[in-house]
Amino acid sequence: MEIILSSTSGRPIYEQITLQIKEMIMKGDLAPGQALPSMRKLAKDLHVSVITTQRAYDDLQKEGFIVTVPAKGTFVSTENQDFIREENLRRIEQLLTDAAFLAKENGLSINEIKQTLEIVYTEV
Amino acid sequence: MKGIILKDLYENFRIFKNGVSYLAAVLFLFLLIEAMQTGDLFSLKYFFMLITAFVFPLLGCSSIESSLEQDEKVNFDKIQLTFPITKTEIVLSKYILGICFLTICNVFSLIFVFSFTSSHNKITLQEGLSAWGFGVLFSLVFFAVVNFAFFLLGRKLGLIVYIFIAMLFGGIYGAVSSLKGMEFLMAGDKTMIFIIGIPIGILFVVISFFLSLACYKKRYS
Amino acid sequence: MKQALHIKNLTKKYKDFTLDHISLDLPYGMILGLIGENGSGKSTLINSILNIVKADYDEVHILGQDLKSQEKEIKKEIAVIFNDSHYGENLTPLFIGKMLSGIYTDWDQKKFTDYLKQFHLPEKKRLKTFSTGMKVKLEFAAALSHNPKLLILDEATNGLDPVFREEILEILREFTEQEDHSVLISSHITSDLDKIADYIAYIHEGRLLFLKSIDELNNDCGIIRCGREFFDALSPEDIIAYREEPYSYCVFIKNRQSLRKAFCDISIENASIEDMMLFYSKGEKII
Repeated sequence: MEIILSSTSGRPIYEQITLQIKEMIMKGDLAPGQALPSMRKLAKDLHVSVITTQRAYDDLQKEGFIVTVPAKGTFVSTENQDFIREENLRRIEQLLTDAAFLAKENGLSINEIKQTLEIVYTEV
Repeated sequence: MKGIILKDLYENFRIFKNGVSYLAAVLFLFLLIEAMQTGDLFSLKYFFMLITAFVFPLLGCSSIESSLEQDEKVNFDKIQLTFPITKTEIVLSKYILGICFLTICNVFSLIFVFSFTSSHNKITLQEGLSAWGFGVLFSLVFFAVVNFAFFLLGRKLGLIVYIFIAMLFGGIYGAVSSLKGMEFLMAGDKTMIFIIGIPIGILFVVISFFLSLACYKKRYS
Repeated sequence: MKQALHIKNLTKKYKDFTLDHISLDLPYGMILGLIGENGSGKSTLINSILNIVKADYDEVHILGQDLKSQEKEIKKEIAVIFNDSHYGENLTPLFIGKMLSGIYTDWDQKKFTDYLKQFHLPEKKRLKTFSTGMKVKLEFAAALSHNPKLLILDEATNGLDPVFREEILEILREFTEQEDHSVLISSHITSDLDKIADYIAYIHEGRLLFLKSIDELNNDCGIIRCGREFFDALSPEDIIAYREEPYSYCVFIKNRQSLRKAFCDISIENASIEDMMLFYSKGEKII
C-alpha cells in the first residue's frame, strides 16, 4: 500500500488519504477483506496526527469503503462492488460538470461537446 | 523511598572525595587513639571522651551533607518531586539514613569503649559507658539541630552551622573538662541523666523532622 | 474521565506574573503541544499540575485521578522530562536503574537496558562524561521504563540537533501508538510540534489564548498575501489576524476551504504553528 502526501496540494491531508485509499480499493490494489493498518499506526507511519487519520478512516467508513471490527481492526469492505460503481458514477458526473462549465465559458454549444465526447469515447 | 536512600548511600561512599573523607576521618581517629596513649591520665581521659562522645557522633551526622551537595548541584528535587513519593517520604528518607549512620557510629563507639576499657585499666567500664552515654545524647541533639539547619538553609549555610555548633560543643567540653576535671564528666552514676536525657534527645529528633518537613513543603508551594 | 489531563481554572499568582484561570483538556491517546513565549507560563503550568508549585484550581485530574488526593498514584503512571538532567553527575545509568527500581513498582529493568543499548548509552560510565544529548536520551530511557501512561516534556528537546530531535519524535510516535498513552509537550521548537502534535495550546502572558487541533490549523487556517482591494473584500469573520506590510497585506485566515471556493485562483499558503504564534502575538486582530 502506498500513500503519498503532498503539502503543496490544495487538498487537506485527510482528503488526500481518503482519495488514495479509495483509489487503491477501486483499482483492486486493496482487496476486499484485506486488513488496513490501525489509524494510529497509519498516523505514525505517515507522520501525521492521529486526528487526521481518524477523520480519513471515519469518512471512508461512512462511505462504506472500509469497516472497523472492534478488537480486530480495520478492513476493506467486502461489499465493494456497488460503492465502486457509485463512486465512479459520481466522479464521471463531476468531470462532466467541469467540462460543461469550461465549454460554456468558451462558447461551445452542446452539440460540439457531444461530438467531442463521441470521438473520445470510441478512441478510448 | 528505598531508591532515594540507595542514592544517598552511593553519593556518600561511591564519590571519590566523599569516600576519601570518611577514610581520612577513620585514619585520624586511629592516629588520635595512638597519640592519646602517650600522654598523662588527664589527656588520656580527655581524648577518650572526645573520641567516644564527640568524634564518633560527628561522623554519624554527616550523611545528609554529601547527598545534599549532589542534589543541589543538579537540582535533583525537580525530578524527585515527579516520582511517586510524598514530601514526607523524601524528608523521612534523609532522616532514616541519618539515624542509621548515627546508630552505626554509636555502635562503633561502644565497641571502642569496651575494647579500650578492657585492654587498659586506666579507665573503668563505668566511666567508659558514661562517656558513651553523653555521646549518644550529644549525637541525638546535634543530629536534630544540624539536619534542620540543612533543610532550612541549604548545604553551604548548613555546613557552617554544623561546624559552628560542633565547635561550640567542643568549646563547652574543653571548658568544663579543664575547669571541673574529667571526673566530673565521667565518674559516678550518671544513669539518671541518661534516662531523662535520651528521650528528650529523641524528642528533639522528632521535632526536627517535622520542622524540616515544614521547610521542605514551604519551599515547594 | 475520558481525558488524560483535565485542568479547570488553574491560577498561580506570583509577584509580577499570574497564570490566569487556565482550563484545558487532553484526550487519551493524543499529543498536546504547549506553545508560548519565554516567561508566558508554560513551565509554571507544568510545575503546577505536578504539584512542584502550589496553585489554585477548581479541578486537576490526571489519568482520571484527582491531583489533590491521589498525587502518589498519579505519579506512578507519569514520567516527566525536563530540559536539563537532574540526576547527579556521579551516578551511572546502571545505578540510576537500580535507584528507580526502588522507586517505581512497575520498573522494567529489561526495557531500561534495551533502551540504553538502543540509545548507545554506556551503562557504567558516570553522567559527567555524557554529552547533553546523551543525558536527554538517558532521561527518556528512564522515563519510558516504568510503563507511564502520560509523558510530560518540558522543553526537553531544546539545544538538541535536528537528527536527534527526529529520533525523539519517532519515540513519541511509537509511544502514542497505544490508545491509552498521551503526551504533553511544551516546546519552543514549533516545527517539531507541526510534525507531531494533535492539539496545540497557546499560552500568552499567563492566559490560554486558544486550544486548537492541528487538523483545524492545517485545513481551516491559511495565509493569504494580497493587496488592499482584496483585503477589503474579505469578511472580518474570515480573518483571525493580519499584518500590514510595506507592499502588501499578510492575512491569517480561518475559512480556508470556503475562501478557496469563493476565490478560485488565490494562493493560500499553509500556516505553520510558528505562523499562528506570530500572528496571534504580533498581528492586528479584527474583533
